[in-house]
Amino acid sequence: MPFLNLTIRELHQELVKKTVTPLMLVKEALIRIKNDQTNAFTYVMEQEALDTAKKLTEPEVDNLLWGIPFVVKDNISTKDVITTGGSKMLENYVPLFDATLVKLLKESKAIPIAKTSLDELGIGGYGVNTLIGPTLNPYDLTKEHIIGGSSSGSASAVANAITPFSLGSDTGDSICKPASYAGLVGFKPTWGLLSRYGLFSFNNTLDTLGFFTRSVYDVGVLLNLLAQKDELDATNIKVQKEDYLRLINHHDVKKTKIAIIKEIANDVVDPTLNKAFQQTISSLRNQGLRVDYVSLNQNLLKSLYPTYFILSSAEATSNNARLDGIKYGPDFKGETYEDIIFNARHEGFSKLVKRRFVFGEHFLSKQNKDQTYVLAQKARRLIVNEVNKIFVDYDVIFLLATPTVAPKIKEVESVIKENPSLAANYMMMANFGGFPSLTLPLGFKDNLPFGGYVLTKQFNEAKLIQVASLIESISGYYNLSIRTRKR
Amino acid sequence: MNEEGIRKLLKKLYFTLSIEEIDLLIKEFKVLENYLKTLDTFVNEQNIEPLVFPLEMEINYLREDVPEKPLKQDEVLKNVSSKEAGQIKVGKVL
Repeated sequence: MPFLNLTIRELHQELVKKTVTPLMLVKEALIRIKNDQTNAFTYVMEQEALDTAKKLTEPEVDNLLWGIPFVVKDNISTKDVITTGGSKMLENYVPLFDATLVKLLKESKAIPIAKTSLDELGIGGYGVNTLIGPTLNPYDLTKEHIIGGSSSGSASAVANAITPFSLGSDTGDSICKPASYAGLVGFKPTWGLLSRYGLFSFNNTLDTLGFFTRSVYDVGVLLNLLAQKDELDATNIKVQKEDYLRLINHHDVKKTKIAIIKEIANDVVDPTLNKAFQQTISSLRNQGLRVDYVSLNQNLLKSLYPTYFILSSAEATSNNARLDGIKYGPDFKGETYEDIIFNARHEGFSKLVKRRFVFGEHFLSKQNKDQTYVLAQKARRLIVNEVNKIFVDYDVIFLLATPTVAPKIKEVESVIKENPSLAANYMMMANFGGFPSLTLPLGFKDNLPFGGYVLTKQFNEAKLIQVASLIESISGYYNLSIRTRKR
Repeated sequence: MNEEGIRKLLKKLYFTLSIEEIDLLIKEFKVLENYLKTLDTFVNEQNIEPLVFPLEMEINYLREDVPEKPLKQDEVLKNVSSKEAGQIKVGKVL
Protein backbone atom coordinates (compact mmCIF):
# COMPACT_ATOMS: atom_id res chain seq x y z
CA MET A 1 0.00 0.00 0.00
CA PRO A 2 1.43 3.40 -0.92
CA PHE A 3 1.19 4.91 2.55
CA LEU A 4 2.50 8.31 1.56
CA ASN A 5 -0.71 8.85 -0.39
CA LEU A 6 -2.45 9.25 2.96
CA THR A 7 -3.06 12.41 4.98
CA ILE A 8 -1.34 13.04 8.32
CA ARG A 9 -4.31 11.79 10.30
CA GLU A 10 -4.71 8.62 8.19
CA LEU A 11 -1.01 7.93 8.24
CA HIS A 12 -0.97 8.29 12.01
CA GLN A 13 -3.57 5.54 12.30
CA GLU A 14 -1.42 3.23 10.20
CA LEU A 15 1.69 4.06 12.22
CA VAL A 16 -0.12 3.33 15.46
CA LYS A 17 -1.35 0.00 14.06
CA LYS A 18 2.24 -0.66 12.96
CA THR A 19 1.13 -1.49 9.45
CA VAL A 20 3.86 0.93 8.44
CA THR A 21 6.94 2.28 10.21
CA PRO A 22 8.64 5.69 9.97
CA LEU A 23 11.58 3.98 8.28
CA MET A 24 9.33 2.51 5.59
CA LEU A 25 7.81 5.95 5.03
CA VAL A 26 11.17 7.66 4.74
CA LYS A 27 12.44 5.04 2.30
CA GLU A 28 9.28 5.40 0.23
CA ALA A 29 9.59 9.20 0.27
CA LEU A 30 13.24 9.06 -0.79
CA ILE A 31 12.33 6.89 -3.78
CA ARG A 32 9.61 9.35 -4.75
CA ILE A 33 12.08 12.23 -4.43
CA LYS A 34 14.51 10.43 -6.73
CA ASN A 35 11.72 10.00 -9.29
CA ASP A 36 10.53 13.60 -8.95
CA GLN A 37 10.36 15.38 -12.31
CA THR A 38 9.37 18.81 -11.03
CA ASN A 39 12.68 20.23 -9.85
CA ALA A 40 11.30 20.65 -6.34
CA PHE A 41 14.25 19.89 -4.10
CA THR A 42 17.41 21.81 -3.31
CA TYR A 43 18.81 19.28 -0.84
CA VAL A 44 17.78 15.82 0.35
CA MET A 45 18.56 14.91 3.96
CA GLU A 46 18.77 11.23 3.09
CA GLN A 47 21.06 9.87 5.78
CA GLU A 48 19.78 12.15 8.53
CA ALA A 49 16.19 11.13 7.79
CA LEU A 50 17.00 7.43 7.68
CA ASP A 51 18.95 7.65 10.95
CA THR A 52 16.07 9.48 12.65
CA ALA A 53 13.47 7.07 11.32
CA LYS A 54 15.39 4.00 12.51
CA LYS A 55 15.19 5.28 16.08
CA LEU A 56 11.40 5.65 15.95
CA THR A 57 10.06 2.25 16.87
CA GLU A 58 7.30 2.79 19.41
CA PRO A 59 4.38 4.86 18.08
CA GLU A 60 2.91 7.61 20.24
CA VAL A 61 -0.86 7.26 20.11
CA ASP A 62 -1.62 10.88 21.04
CA ASN A 63 1.07 12.43 18.86
CA LEU A 64 -0.24 12.76 15.31
CA LEU A 65 3.09 14.00 13.99
CA TRP A 66 5.09 11.00 15.25
CA GLY A 67 7.10 9.52 12.39
CA ILE A 68 5.52 11.73 9.70
CA PRO A 69 7.98 12.89 7.02
CA PHE A 70 7.87 16.48 5.82
CA VAL A 71 9.84 18.93 3.68
CA VAL A 72 10.93 22.48 4.39
CA LYS A 73 11.11 25.53 2.14
CA ASP A 74 14.72 26.50 1.73
CA ASN A 75 14.39 29.92 3.32
CA ILE A 76 13.68 28.25 6.66
CA SER A 77 16.74 27.46 8.76
CA THR A 78 17.65 23.84 9.38
CA LYS A 79 20.54 23.12 11.74
CA ASP A 80 23.59 21.70 10.01
CA VAL A 81 21.65 21.40 6.75
CA ILE A 82 22.43 23.66 3.83
CA THR A 83 19.82 26.43 3.49
CA THR A 84 20.23 28.56 0.39
CA GLY A 85 17.22 30.85 0.43
CA GLY A 86 17.10 29.98 -3.26
CA SER A 87 19.97 32.38 -3.84
CA LYS A 88 23.45 31.96 -5.24
CA MET A 89 24.43 34.41 -2.52
CA LEU A 90 23.84 31.70 0.10
CA GLU A 91 24.41 28.53 -1.87
CA ASN A 92 26.77 27.08 0.75
CA TYR A 93 25.16 28.53 3.89
CA VAL A 94 24.66 26.11 6.77
CA PRO A 95 22.59 27.45 9.69
CA LEU A 96 23.74 26.83 13.24
CA PHE A 97 20.20 26.41 14.52
CA ASP A 98 16.76 25.16 13.56
CA ALA A 99 13.88 27.51 12.89
CA THR A 100 11.48 27.22 15.81
CA LEU A 101 8.82 25.46 13.73
CA VAL A 102 11.35 22.91 12.52
CA LYS A 103 12.53 22.43 16.09
CA LEU A 104 8.97 21.88 17.35
CA LEU A 105 8.25 19.39 14.58
CA LYS A 106 11.45 17.50 15.28
CA GLU A 107 10.60 17.43 18.99
CA SER A 108 7.28 15.88 17.99
CA LYS A 109 9.29 13.30 16.05
CA ALA A 110 8.18 14.39 12.62
CA ILE A 111 11.03 13.76 10.17
CA PRO A 112 12.40 16.45 7.86
CA ILE A 113 13.59 14.78 4.67
CA ALA A 114 14.39 17.55 2.19
CA LYS A 115 14.68 21.26 1.53
CA THR A 116 12.55 22.69 -1.26
CA SER A 117 13.07 25.18 -4.03
CA LEU A 118 11.71 28.72 -3.99
CA ASP A 119 11.92 32.01 -5.79
CA GLU A 120 15.14 33.67 -4.73
CA LEU A 121 14.79 34.98 -1.16
CA GLY A 122 11.02 34.56 -1.51
CA ILE A 123 10.88 37.35 -4.10
CA GLY A 124 8.76 36.46 -7.15
CA GLY A 125 5.48 34.69 -7.39
CA TYR A 126 5.97 32.03 -10.01
CA GLY A 127 8.57 29.57 -8.75
CA VAL A 128 10.72 30.29 -11.80
CA ASN A 129 13.38 32.64 -10.41
CA THR A 130 15.03 29.88 -8.41
CA LEU A 131 18.55 28.63 -7.82
CA ILE A 132 17.92 25.30 -9.55
CA GLY A 133 15.54 26.23 -12.37
CA PRO A 134 11.75 26.55 -12.55
CA THR A 135 9.63 24.28 -10.36
CA LEU A 136 7.18 22.40 -12.56
CA ASN A 137 3.59 21.48 -11.87
CA PRO A 138 3.32 17.73 -11.19
CA TYR A 139 -0.17 17.65 -12.76
CA ASP A 140 1.28 18.79 -16.06
CA LEU A 141 2.84 15.97 -18.04
CA THR A 142 4.06 18.40 -20.71
CA LYS A 143 6.38 20.07 -18.17
CA GLU A 144 5.31 23.49 -19.39
CA HIS A 145 3.25 24.77 -16.47
CA ILE A 146 4.42 26.41 -13.27
CA ILE A 147 3.18 25.47 -9.83
CA GLY A 148 3.52 29.01 -8.54
CA GLY A 149 5.69 30.56 -5.89
CA SER A 150 7.44 31.47 -4.00
CA SER A 151 6.89 28.22 -2.00
CA SER A 152 7.04 26.22 -5.23
CA GLY A 153 8.99 23.13 -4.13
CA SER A 154 6.97 22.73 -0.94
CA ALA A 155 3.76 22.79 -3.01
CA SER A 156 5.08 20.29 -5.52
CA ALA A 157 6.23 17.83 -2.85
CA VAL A 158 2.78 17.58 -1.27
CA ALA A 159 0.88 17.55 -4.58
CA ASN A 160 3.21 14.73 -5.63
CA ALA A 161 2.41 12.87 -2.35
CA ILE A 162 6.08 12.74 -1.40
CA THR A 163 5.12 13.98 2.05
CA PRO A 164 1.70 14.68 3.59
CA PHE A 165 2.69 18.22 4.53
CA SER A 166 5.36 20.82 4.00
CA LEU A 167 6.46 24.12 5.48
CA GLY A 168 6.31 27.27 3.40
CA SER A 169 6.27 31.01 3.90
CA ASP A 170 3.79 33.61 2.70
CA THR A 171 4.41 37.34 2.24
CA GLY A 172 1.85 38.25 -0.45
CA ASP A 173 0.41 34.92 -1.63
CA SER A 174 3.43 32.60 -1.60
CA ILE A 175 1.51 29.69 -0.04
CA CYS A 176 -2.08 30.44 -0.90
CA LYS A 177 -1.57 30.97 -4.64
CA PRO A 178 0.61 27.91 -5.39
CA ALA A 179 -1.86 25.86 -3.31
CA SER A 180 -4.48 26.72 -5.93
CA TYR A 181 -2.25 25.68 -8.84
CA ALA A 182 -1.24 22.52 -6.97
CA GLY A 183 -4.70 21.39 -5.83
CA LEU A 184 -3.68 21.62 -2.18
CA VAL A 185 -4.78 23.06 1.09
CA GLY A 186 -2.47 26.00 1.70
CA PHE A 187 -2.65 27.82 5.01
CA LYS A 188 -1.34 31.18 6.16
CA PRO A 189 -1.96 32.00 9.84
CA THR A 190 -2.65 35.27 11.60
CA TRP A 191 0.53 37.33 11.47
CA GLY A 192 2.48 36.67 14.66
CA LEU A 193 0.63 33.45 15.60
CA LEU A 194 3.47 31.18 14.48
CA SER A 195 7.07 31.91 15.30
CA ARG A 196 9.11 33.27 12.41
CA TYR A 197 12.40 32.60 14.15
CA GLY A 198 14.72 31.05 11.60
CA LEU A 199 12.82 32.30 8.55
CA PHE A 200 14.93 34.45 6.23
CA SER A 201 13.08 37.74 6.54
CA PHE A 202 11.72 39.09 3.29
CA ASN A 203 9.21 41.55 4.66
CA ASN A 204 8.89 41.53 8.45
CA THR A 205 5.54 43.25 8.56
CA LEU A 206 3.91 40.82 6.11
CA ASP A 207 5.82 37.50 6.42
CA THR A 208 4.29 34.43 7.99
CA LEU A 209 5.25 30.80 8.01
CA GLY A 210 2.54 28.34 7.04
CA PHE A 211 1.95 24.95 5.49
CA PHE A 212 0.65 22.88 2.62
CA THR A 213 -1.45 19.82 3.46
CA ARG A 214 -3.93 17.61 1.62
CA SER A 215 -6.77 18.05 4.08
CA VAL A 216 -8.19 20.91 6.09
CA TYR A 217 -8.11 18.73 9.20
CA ASP A 218 -4.34 18.41 8.92
CA VAL A 219 -4.01 22.20 9.06
CA GLY A 220 -5.61 22.05 12.50
CA VAL A 221 -3.30 19.21 13.53
CA LEU A 222 -0.24 21.29 12.68
CA LEU A 223 -1.63 24.47 14.15
CA ASN A 224 -2.44 22.74 17.44
CA LEU A 225 1.22 21.86 17.77
CA LEU A 226 2.93 24.92 16.34
CA ALA A 227 0.88 27.85 17.69
CA GLN A 228 2.82 28.49 20.85
CA LYS A 229 4.76 31.44 22.21
CA ASP A 230 8.38 31.66 21.15
CA GLU A 231 10.59 34.04 23.11
CA LEU A 232 13.06 34.02 20.22
CA ASP A 233 10.64 35.88 17.95
CA ALA A 234 9.78 39.32 19.32
CA THR A 235 6.82 39.57 16.92
CA ASN A 236 5.35 36.26 18.01
CA ILE A 237 2.09 36.83 19.87
CA LYS A 238 1.25 35.04 23.07
CA VAL A 239 -2.17 33.45 22.71
CA GLN A 240 -4.15 31.11 24.88
CA LYS A 241 -3.79 27.50 23.92
CA GLU A 242 -6.79 26.42 21.90
CA ASP A 243 -7.97 23.43 19.91
CA TYR A 244 -8.15 24.66 16.33
CA LEU A 245 -10.16 21.59 15.33
CA ARG A 246 -12.89 22.11 17.88
CA LEU A 247 -15.42 23.60 15.46
CA ILE A 248 -15.07 21.03 12.68
CA ASN A 249 -18.43 19.33 12.05
CA HIS A 250 -20.07 21.56 14.67
CA HIS A 251 -23.70 22.22 13.75
CA ASP A 252 -23.30 25.98 14.24
CA VAL A 253 -21.48 26.14 10.89
CA LYS A 254 -24.95 26.74 9.42
CA LYS A 255 -24.99 30.12 11.13
CA THR A 256 -21.89 31.19 9.21
CA LYS A 257 -22.16 34.37 7.19
CA ILE A 258 -20.00 34.45 4.08
CA ALA A 259 -19.08 37.52 2.04
CA ILE A 260 -18.00 37.45 -1.57
CA ILE A 261 -16.23 40.55 -2.82
CA LYS A 262 -18.18 41.25 -5.97
CA GLU A 263 -15.48 43.11 -7.88
CA ILE A 264 -12.89 40.37 -7.40
CA ALA A 265 -15.35 37.59 -8.21
CA ASN A 266 -16.48 39.45 -11.34
CA ASP A 267 -12.87 39.74 -12.51
CA VAL A 268 -12.77 35.99 -13.17
CA VAL A 269 -13.90 35.25 -16.71
CA ASP A 270 -13.16 31.54 -17.02
CA PRO A 271 -16.51 29.68 -17.19
CA THR A 272 -15.13 26.43 -15.74
CA LEU A 273 -13.76 28.14 -12.67
CA ASN A 274 -16.83 30.33 -12.26
CA LYS A 275 -19.12 27.30 -12.52
CA ALA A 276 -17.28 25.46 -9.74
CA PHE A 277 -17.37 28.59 -7.59
CA GLN A 278 -21.10 29.15 -8.16
CA GLN A 279 -21.86 25.50 -7.45
CA THR A 280 -20.01 25.77 -4.14
CA ILE A 281 -21.97 28.90 -3.23
CA SER A 282 -25.24 27.15 -4.08
CA SER A 283 -24.30 24.18 -1.91
CA LEU A 284 -23.39 26.45 0.98
CA ARG A 285 -26.72 28.27 0.68
CA ASN A 286 -28.57 24.96 0.41
CA GLN A 287 -27.01 23.95 3.70
CA GLY A 288 -28.40 27.07 5.32
CA LEU A 289 -25.39 29.35 5.29
CA ARG A 290 -25.85 32.97 4.34
CA VAL A 291 -23.75 34.01 1.35
CA ASP A 292 -23.86 37.66 0.24
CA TYR A 293 -22.02 39.74 -2.29
CA VAL A 294 -20.31 42.81 -0.86
CA SER A 295 -18.44 45.65 -2.53
CA LEU A 296 -15.07 47.30 -2.04
CA ASN A 297 -14.34 50.60 -3.70
CA GLN A 298 -12.41 50.62 -6.94
CA ASN A 299 -9.63 52.87 -5.66
CA LEU A 300 -8.94 50.43 -2.85
CA LEU A 301 -8.88 47.47 -5.19
CA LYS A 302 -6.59 49.25 -7.63
CA SER A 303 -4.28 50.09 -4.72
CA LEU A 304 -3.74 46.52 -3.56
CA TYR A 305 -0.84 45.58 -5.82
CA PRO A 306 0.90 49.01 -5.79
CA THR A 307 0.80 48.98 -1.98
CA TYR A 308 2.27 45.49 -1.88
CA PHE A 309 4.91 46.30 -4.49
CA ILE A 310 6.19 49.30 -2.55
CA LEU A 311 6.11 47.70 0.91
CA SER A 312 7.67 44.44 -0.22
CA SER A 313 10.42 46.00 -2.35
CA ALA A 314 11.39 48.44 0.40
CA GLU A 315 11.54 45.91 3.20
CA ALA A 316 13.24 43.26 1.07
CA THR A 317 15.98 45.75 0.25
CA SER A 318 16.47 46.62 3.88
CA ASN A 319 16.38 43.02 5.13
CA ASN A 320 18.81 41.75 2.55
CA ALA A 321 21.35 44.52 3.03
CA ARG A 322 23.02 42.09 5.43
CA LEU A 323 23.94 39.81 2.53
CA ASP A 324 27.42 41.17 1.92
CA GLY A 325 29.44 38.05 1.08
CA ILE A 326 31.62 38.47 4.17
CA LYS A 327 29.85 36.77 7.07
CA TYR A 328 28.40 33.95 4.97
CA GLY A 329 28.06 32.87 1.38
CA PRO A 330 30.56 31.69 -1.22
CA ASP A 331 33.94 33.36 -1.63
CA PHE A 332 33.29 35.98 -4.29
CA LYS A 333 36.83 37.38 -3.88
CA GLY A 334 37.95 41.01 -3.85
CA GLU A 335 40.94 43.17 -2.94
CA THR A 336 39.12 45.31 -0.40
CA TYR A 337 36.05 44.65 1.73
CA GLU A 338 34.08 46.89 -0.59
CA ASP A 339 35.21 44.82 -3.56
CA ILE A 340 34.07 41.67 -1.78
CA ILE A 341 30.65 43.19 -1.06
CA PHE A 342 30.29 44.41 -4.64
CA ASN A 343 31.38 41.12 -6.18
CA ALA A 344 29.16 39.11 -3.84
CA ARG A 345 26.04 41.21 -4.43
CA HIS A 346 26.70 41.61 -8.14
CA GLU A 347 27.24 37.91 -8.77
CA GLY A 348 25.05 36.58 -5.96
CA PHE A 349 21.70 38.19 -6.79
CA SER A 350 19.56 37.50 -9.86
CA LYS A 351 18.50 40.30 -12.18
CA LEU A 352 14.94 40.26 -10.85
CA VAL A 353 16.03 40.59 -7.25
CA LYS A 354 18.41 43.40 -8.16
CA ARG A 355 15.64 45.30 -9.89
CA ARG A 356 13.41 44.94 -6.83
CA PHE A 357 16.24 46.24 -4.63
CA VAL A 358 16.66 49.28 -6.88
CA PHE A 359 13.02 50.11 -6.25
CA GLY A 360 13.42 49.45 -2.54
CA GLU A 361 16.42 51.75 -2.31
CA HIS A 362 14.41 54.44 -4.09
CA PHE A 363 11.44 54.01 -1.75
CA LEU A 364 13.56 54.19 1.39
CA SER A 365 15.61 57.22 0.42
CA LYS A 366 15.00 60.28 2.56
CA GLN A 367 13.62 62.39 -0.29
CA ASN A 368 11.16 59.72 -1.55
CA LYS A 369 10.10 57.86 1.56
CA ASP A 370 7.02 59.91 2.44
CA GLN A 371 5.68 59.89 -1.12
CA THR A 372 6.23 56.15 -1.57
CA TYR A 373 6.81 53.90 1.45
CA VAL A 374 4.81 55.92 3.98
CA LEU A 375 2.09 56.48 1.38
CA ALA A 376 1.85 52.70 0.94
CA GLN A 377 1.68 52.24 4.71
CA LYS A 378 -1.24 54.66 4.83
CA ALA A 379 -2.94 52.82 1.99
CA ARG A 380 -2.36 49.62 3.93
CA ARG A 381 -4.27 50.98 6.90
CA LEU A 382 -7.18 52.11 4.73
CA ILE A 383 -7.35 48.71 3.04
CA VAL A 384 -7.25 46.85 6.36
CA ASN A 385 -9.93 49.13 7.82
CA GLU A 386 -12.27 48.36 4.92
CA VAL A 387 -11.69 44.61 5.09
CA ASN A 388 -12.29 44.69 8.83
CA LYS A 389 -15.64 46.38 8.17
CA ILE A 390 -16.64 43.28 6.18
CA PHE A 391 -15.74 41.15 9.19
CA VAL A 392 -18.18 43.11 11.38
CA ASP A 393 -21.07 41.50 9.49
CA TYR A 394 -19.48 38.35 8.07
CA ASP A 395 -17.41 35.49 9.44
CA VAL A 396 -15.36 34.83 6.33
CA ILE A 397 -14.71 36.07 2.82
CA PHE A 398 -14.82 33.41 0.09
CA LEU A 399 -13.40 33.79 -3.42
CA LEU A 400 -11.75 31.84 -6.20
CA ALA A 401 -8.07 31.66 -5.25
CA THR A 402 -6.87 32.32 -8.78
CA PRO A 403 -8.69 33.35 -11.98
CA THR A 404 -7.01 30.61 -14.02
CA VAL A 405 -5.24 27.31 -13.61
CA ALA A 406 -1.42 27.35 -13.51
CA PRO A 407 -0.01 29.30 -16.46
CA LYS A 408 2.83 28.09 -18.66
CA ILE A 409 6.38 29.11 -17.81
CA LYS A 410 6.64 31.09 -21.04
CA GLU A 411 3.47 33.03 -20.14
CA VAL A 412 4.75 34.49 -16.88
CA GLU A 413 6.70 37.70 -16.77
CA SER A 414 8.37 39.03 -13.66
CA VAL A 415 7.97 42.69 -14.58
CA ILE A 416 5.56 45.09 -12.94
CA LYS A 417 2.42 45.56 -14.98
CA GLU A 418 0.39 48.68 -15.70
CA ASN A 419 -2.91 46.99 -14.83
CA PRO A 420 -2.26 43.83 -12.84
CA SER A 421 -5.16 41.39 -12.81
CA LEU A 422 -7.27 41.97 -9.72
CA ALA A 423 -8.41 38.36 -9.37
CA ALA A 424 -4.77 37.21 -9.57
CA ASN A 425 -3.41 39.82 -7.17
CA TYR A 426 -5.71 40.35 -4.23
CA MET A 427 -4.49 37.87 -1.60
CA MET A 428 -2.01 40.37 -0.17
CA MET A 429 -4.95 41.98 1.62
CA ALA A 430 -4.62 39.05 4.05
CA ASN A 431 -0.97 39.91 4.68
CA PHE A 432 -1.75 43.62 5.05
CA GLY A 433 -4.20 42.89 7.86
CA GLY A 434 -2.41 39.87 9.29
CA PHE A 435 -5.57 37.88 8.50
CA PRO A 436 -5.46 34.09 8.41
CA SER A 437 -6.40 32.55 5.10
CA LEU A 438 -6.63 29.20 3.44
CA THR A 439 -6.78 27.86 -0.11
CA LEU A 440 -8.38 24.52 -0.93
CA PRO A 441 -9.11 22.67 -4.17
CA LEU A 442 -12.39 23.36 -5.97
CA GLY A 443 -11.98 21.77 -9.37
CA PHE A 444 -9.98 21.03 -12.50
CA LYS A 445 -9.65 22.55 -15.91
CA ASP A 446 -7.63 20.82 -18.63
CA ASN A 447 -6.36 18.41 -15.98
CA LEU A 448 -4.90 21.23 -13.90
CA PRO A 449 -6.38 22.07 -10.47
CA PHE A 450 -7.70 25.35 -9.15
CA GLY A 451 -8.78 26.40 -5.69
CA GLY A 452 -11.07 28.47 -3.55
CA TYR A 453 -9.84 30.90 -0.94
CA VAL A 454 -11.22 31.63 2.51
CA LEU A 455 -10.15 34.62 4.56
CA THR A 456 -11.16 35.61 8.07
CA LYS A 457 -10.35 38.07 10.83
CA GLN A 458 -7.26 37.81 13.02
CA PHE A 459 -7.04 34.83 15.40
CA ASN A 460 -10.19 33.27 13.94
CA GLU A 461 -8.39 30.14 12.71
CA ALA A 462 -10.86 27.69 14.28
CA LYS A 463 -13.72 29.26 12.32
CA LEU A 464 -11.59 29.32 9.15
CA ILE A 465 -10.92 25.59 9.53
CA GLN A 466 -14.60 24.90 10.20
CA VAL A 467 -15.82 26.69 7.08
CA ALA A 468 -13.01 25.31 4.92
CA SER A 469 -13.80 21.81 6.12
CA LEU A 470 -17.41 22.24 5.02
CA ILE A 471 -16.28 23.49 1.59
CA GLU A 472 -13.92 20.52 1.37
CA SER A 473 -16.83 18.15 1.98
CA ILE A 474 -18.86 19.95 -0.69
CA SER A 475 -16.13 19.83 -3.31
CA GLY A 476 -15.12 16.26 -2.51
CA TYR A 477 -11.47 17.13 -3.00
CA TYR A 478 -10.20 15.63 0.23
CA ASN A 479 -6.61 14.33 0.09
CA LEU A 480 -6.02 15.36 -3.51
CA SER A 481 -2.66 14.57 -5.09
CA ILE A 482 -1.46 13.38 -8.47
CA ARG A 483 -1.48 9.87 -7.02
CA THR A 484 -4.94 9.96 -5.46
CA ARG A 485 -6.91 11.89 -8.06
CA LYS A 486 -9.88 9.95 -9.35
CA ARG A 487 -10.39 10.62 -13.04
CA MET B 1 13.65 58.06 -13.37
CA ASN B 2 16.53 58.06 -15.82
CA GLU B 3 19.74 56.10 -16.28
CA GLU B 4 21.74 58.49 -14.09
CA GLY B 5 19.25 58.15 -11.24
CA ILE B 6 19.33 54.38 -11.46
CA ARG B 7 23.12 54.31 -11.51
CA LYS B 8 23.15 56.37 -8.30
CA LEU B 9 20.88 53.81 -6.65
CA LEU B 10 23.00 50.93 -7.96
CA LYS B 11 26.09 52.46 -6.39
CA LYS B 12 24.45 52.43 -2.99
CA LEU B 13 23.30 48.85 -3.49
CA TYR B 14 26.77 47.52 -4.35
CA PHE B 15 25.90 45.86 -7.64
CA THR B 16 25.34 46.85 -11.21
CA LEU B 17 22.98 45.96 -14.03
CA SER B 18 23.32 45.73 -17.80
CA ILE B 19 22.05 48.59 -19.92
CA GLU B 20 19.16 46.34 -21.02
CA GLU B 21 18.15 45.83 -17.39
CA ILE B 22 18.45 49.56 -16.72
CA ASP B 23 16.20 50.25 -19.71
CA LEU B 24 13.69 47.77 -18.32
CA LEU B 25 13.86 49.50 -14.93
CA ILE B 26 13.20 52.87 -16.53
CA LYS B 27 10.04 51.38 -18.07
CA GLU B 28 9.08 49.88 -14.70
CA PHE B 29 9.56 53.24 -12.99
CA LYS B 30 7.07 54.69 -15.49
CA VAL B 31 4.58 52.08 -14.32
CA LEU B 32 5.43 53.05 -10.75
CA GLU B 33 4.41 56.65 -11.47
CA ASN B 34 0.91 55.38 -12.23
CA TYR B 35 0.95 53.22 -9.11
CA LEU B 36 1.76 56.29 -7.05
CA LYS B 37 -1.03 58.28 -8.71
CA THR B 38 -3.42 55.45 -7.82
CA LEU B 39 -2.26 55.50 -4.20
CA ASP B 40 -2.44 59.28 -4.01
CA THR B 41 -6.04 59.17 -5.23
CA PHE B 42 -6.87 56.43 -2.73
CA VAL B 43 -5.19 57.94 0.30
CA ASN B 44 -6.20 61.43 -0.85
CA GLU B 45 -4.45 63.26 1.98
CA GLN B 46 -6.71 61.65 4.52
CA ASN B 47 -5.42 62.17 8.00
CA ILE B 48 -4.45 58.58 8.51
CA GLU B 49 -1.60 57.02 10.40
CA PRO B 50 0.65 54.66 8.48
CA LEU B 51 0.09 51.00 9.36
CA VAL B 52 3.39 49.31 10.05
CA PHE B 53 2.52 46.04 11.78
CA PRO B 54 -0.88 44.39 11.49
CA LEU B 55 -1.16 44.02 15.26
CA GLU B 56 -0.53 46.39 18.08
CA MET B 57 2.89 45.27 19.26
CA GLU B 58 4.20 45.34 22.79
CA ILE B 59 7.63 46.75 22.09
CA ASN B 60 8.88 47.93 25.45
CA TYR B 61 9.19 44.71 27.37
CA LEU B 62 12.35 43.19 28.73
CA ARG B 63 13.21 39.54 28.70
CA GLU B 64 14.31 37.87 31.87
CA ASP B 65 18.00 38.42 32.46
CA VAL B 66 18.98 34.83 31.88
CA PRO B 67 22.56 34.17 30.79
CA GLU B 68 22.83 32.15 27.62
CA LYS B 69 25.73 30.35 26.07
CA PRO B 70 27.11 32.43 23.21
CA LEU B 71 28.19 30.83 19.96
CA LYS B 72 31.71 29.52 19.92
CA GLN B 73 34.20 31.29 17.71
CA ASP B 74 34.49 28.40 15.28
CA GLU B 75 30.69 28.28 14.99
CA VAL B 76 30.52 31.98 14.19
CA LEU B 77 33.15 31.52 11.52
CA LYS B 78 31.62 28.34 10.11
CA ASN B 79 29.97 30.11 7.19
CA VAL B 80 32.75 32.60 6.55
CA SER B 81 34.54 31.95 3.25
CA SER B 82 37.66 33.99 4.05
CA LYS B 83 39.13 33.67 7.55
CA GLU B 84 42.48 33.56 9.28
CA ALA B 85 43.60 33.07 12.88
CA GLY B 86 40.04 32.93 14.19
CA GLN B 87 38.96 36.13 12.44
CA ILE B 88 37.18 37.20 9.26
CA LYS B 89 39.77 38.17 6.69
CA VAL B 90 39.14 41.00 4.24
CA GLY B 91 41.43 43.22 2.22
CA LYS B 92 43.02 46.36 3.56
CA VAL B 93 40.54 48.92 4.86
CA LEU B 94 43.02 51.78 5.06
